[in-house]
Amino acid sequence: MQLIFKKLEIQNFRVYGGKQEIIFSTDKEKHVTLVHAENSTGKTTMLNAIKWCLYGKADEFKDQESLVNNRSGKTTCSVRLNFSFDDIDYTAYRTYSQQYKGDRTFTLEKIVNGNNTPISDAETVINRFLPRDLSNYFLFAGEHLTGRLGRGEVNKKAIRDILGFNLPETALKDLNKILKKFKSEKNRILSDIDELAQDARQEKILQEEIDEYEKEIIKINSSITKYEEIRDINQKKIAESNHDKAKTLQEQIKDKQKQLNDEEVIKKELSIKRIRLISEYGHIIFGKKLSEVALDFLQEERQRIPAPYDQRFVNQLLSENTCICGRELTEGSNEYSLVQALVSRGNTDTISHRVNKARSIGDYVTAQAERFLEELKDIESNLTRVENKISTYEQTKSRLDNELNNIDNEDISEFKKQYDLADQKISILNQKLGQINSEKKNIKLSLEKVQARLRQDSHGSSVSKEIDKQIKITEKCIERITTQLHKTEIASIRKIEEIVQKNLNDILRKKFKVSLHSDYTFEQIEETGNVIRDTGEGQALLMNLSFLTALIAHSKTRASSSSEFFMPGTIAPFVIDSPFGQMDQVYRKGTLSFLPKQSHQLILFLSSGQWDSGYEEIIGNYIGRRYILINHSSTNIKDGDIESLTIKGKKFELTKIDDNMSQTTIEDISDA
Amino acid sequence: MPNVHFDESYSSLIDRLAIKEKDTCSGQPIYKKYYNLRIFLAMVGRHHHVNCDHGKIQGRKIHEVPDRLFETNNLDGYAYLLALDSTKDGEILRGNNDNEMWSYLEKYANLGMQIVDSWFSKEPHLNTVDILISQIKIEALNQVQTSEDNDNPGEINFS
Repeated sequence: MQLIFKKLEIQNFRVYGGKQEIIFSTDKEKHVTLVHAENSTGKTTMLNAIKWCLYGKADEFKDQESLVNNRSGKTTCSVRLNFSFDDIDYTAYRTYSQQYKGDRTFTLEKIVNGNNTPISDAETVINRFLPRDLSNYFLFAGEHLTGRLGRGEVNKKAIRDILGFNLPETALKDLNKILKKFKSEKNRILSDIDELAQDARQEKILQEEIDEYEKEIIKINSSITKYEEIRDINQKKIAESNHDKAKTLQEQIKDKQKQLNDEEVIKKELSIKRIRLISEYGHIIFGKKLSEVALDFLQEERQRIPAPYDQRFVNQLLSENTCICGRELTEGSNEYSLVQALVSRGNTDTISHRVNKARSIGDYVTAQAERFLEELKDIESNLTRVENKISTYEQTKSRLDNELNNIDNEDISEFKKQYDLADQKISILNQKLGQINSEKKNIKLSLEKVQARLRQDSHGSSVSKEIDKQIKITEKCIERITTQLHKTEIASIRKIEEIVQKNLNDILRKKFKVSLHSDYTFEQIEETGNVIRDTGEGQALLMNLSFLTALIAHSKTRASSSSEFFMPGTIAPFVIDSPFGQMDQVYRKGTLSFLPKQSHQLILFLSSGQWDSGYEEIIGNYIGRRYILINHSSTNIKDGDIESLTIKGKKFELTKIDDNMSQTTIEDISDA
Repeated sequence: MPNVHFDESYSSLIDRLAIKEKDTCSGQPIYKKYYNLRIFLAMVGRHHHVNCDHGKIQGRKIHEVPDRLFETNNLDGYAYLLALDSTKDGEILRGNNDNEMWSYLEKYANLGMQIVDSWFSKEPHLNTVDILISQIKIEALNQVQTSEDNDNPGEINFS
């Protein structure tokens, strides 16, 4: 599923006056298109023009209705995007009329041999090529890529779609629906049998309750994600404000939070040690009684178990027809029969081995109770100490929070209010989630008991036999797909982790291990084993970019997959506005070295501040096309203020004084 | 090749104890492998019952574990002890009695499941880890106490 952008045509759209076009490089080797521009001259608009053309919306536009360039004198604007999907050409065209607000059109046409064929239900088809949720992973601004990528169900689903898991996931969804239908049919049949009716009714009620709980859990999880985002945005706003006291308090709160997080990590480690005690000691301590009784028995029977003579030895006597006393053992004789009777009860290697294994249990059961109690005491006293620390830090943080709340500044108060509200909501929702999960667990237990009773009582009933068979087959299918999906997902995660690790090893000054979790969030772990909680924005962006490119690189390797289970992953161009965000030179160079290698088409929008002539050496061989955005200004600009960019020794002016227009135009400098 | 199973009617309890459900504090499941859980349950079962006559699985059998997994993880000794204890006959360890030998582990694990289920029912407000730790602790303290009592020579009469 390969998407390639070919040409973008923008007409009177936002800062772009008249008709402007850009042809993207589609060369296999030189697949990078660079667009250089100053800030506020249309880089972000161009990224959003692509999004708007495809989906009719670009979240970054504050006013979704102010789309027509107000100096063009026109009332209509349009964006056309030519692209190919799986080697078939298409053209998407969207228009908007300012005069008749809401009057917009969208067409999608297939191009075959120069002939355009309109496609009905264009929006659905576009969403099939590159679903909107997925597009955020391909078309984005660097500054927005510093959060946790795997957060929220929508994001997780998008990542899995890129990996091509859509087909088995849809199959699972359908099979679960079928299974539910079969089960409810079976329940209906059992309800008609007098002696089973009550349990069948109960089963139905409990199942409905569980379904309701599951719906509620999905709703709560999605609300938590939403409030986490609101909380993070407002925290960032306070940190970036000009109010010194607020900034200081925010820093102190952040430090306290970091200390709290560190203690939480220690608490988690101690909790892991505590939970391990169960699997390390549980069977030994409860096994003591068995080992004492059984080992006493073995001791008493040591003459008999294992048998004092070896089966092989007895067989040898029989084959040699001579007893150890020298007497002849003739087949059919009384002596022969007596010796032969020993064979079946003779000792074997298996029995000796098993007796030794059984005896060895006694060696490590001794004194384990004391050891368990000592370890438990140690862990629990450390846990108490850490919990006290956490409580102290929480109090300090709460005091700092109050101080921040009392700052007399409208903006800060509003950001803080929003932050607190979101935080409060998250806490309430988490409590609710815990409660619902626990209630669901209890209902599930009751349901299983009722189902076990029903299975027992209806066993052999010819009425439900056929439906039982269907249920069993469906369950087997679900189990098989789930296992296969899980295996493939884990293998993909390990592969992506490996690519990210390699990318980062080449760039980062301080080495650390990347650990990608099954929910697609990742952690950076120092050599000491500490988890790095608070990375700078530059490093967070570098990690996320590396993760995304690794994801696409992995999808690329699976593009030719002919698996019956998985569709080839989605591969679309990377269109990135200001990819470097807060990165320093080292990170920028590192990013430029892995980005082109691991993407299949790369379109970068760079301000002159994000470009350095030294980068030419790293990315130069991959650049297929190159453009500059020129800002036309009617106001009188002093010569010194005219912005320019030097590429390969040639100077390009990015600002032009032009009485007739105040807008942006695109200039092709690919031949520079 | 003999296999050991769980009773499907305990599937929620099994999820609570192994692999699927993770403890909120540690983010870990209590048991990462079903074979470890099975040995624990069998030991709990044997601790509370002198025989496994009522341990037969009544429902559908799930989570099949082949005997070799216990062997490769050095846990088979417990199965041999259970079989010897149940039959009081070393013949049970002979290779051709494997099906019967492994059945004792399955039955005692099923009995253990009933015991663990009753622990949870008695204290529904406590979390799974706390309940298990507290039960192991009670038993460990008993063992230490018994051992101290045995070591104590009692009053010595010098007369």
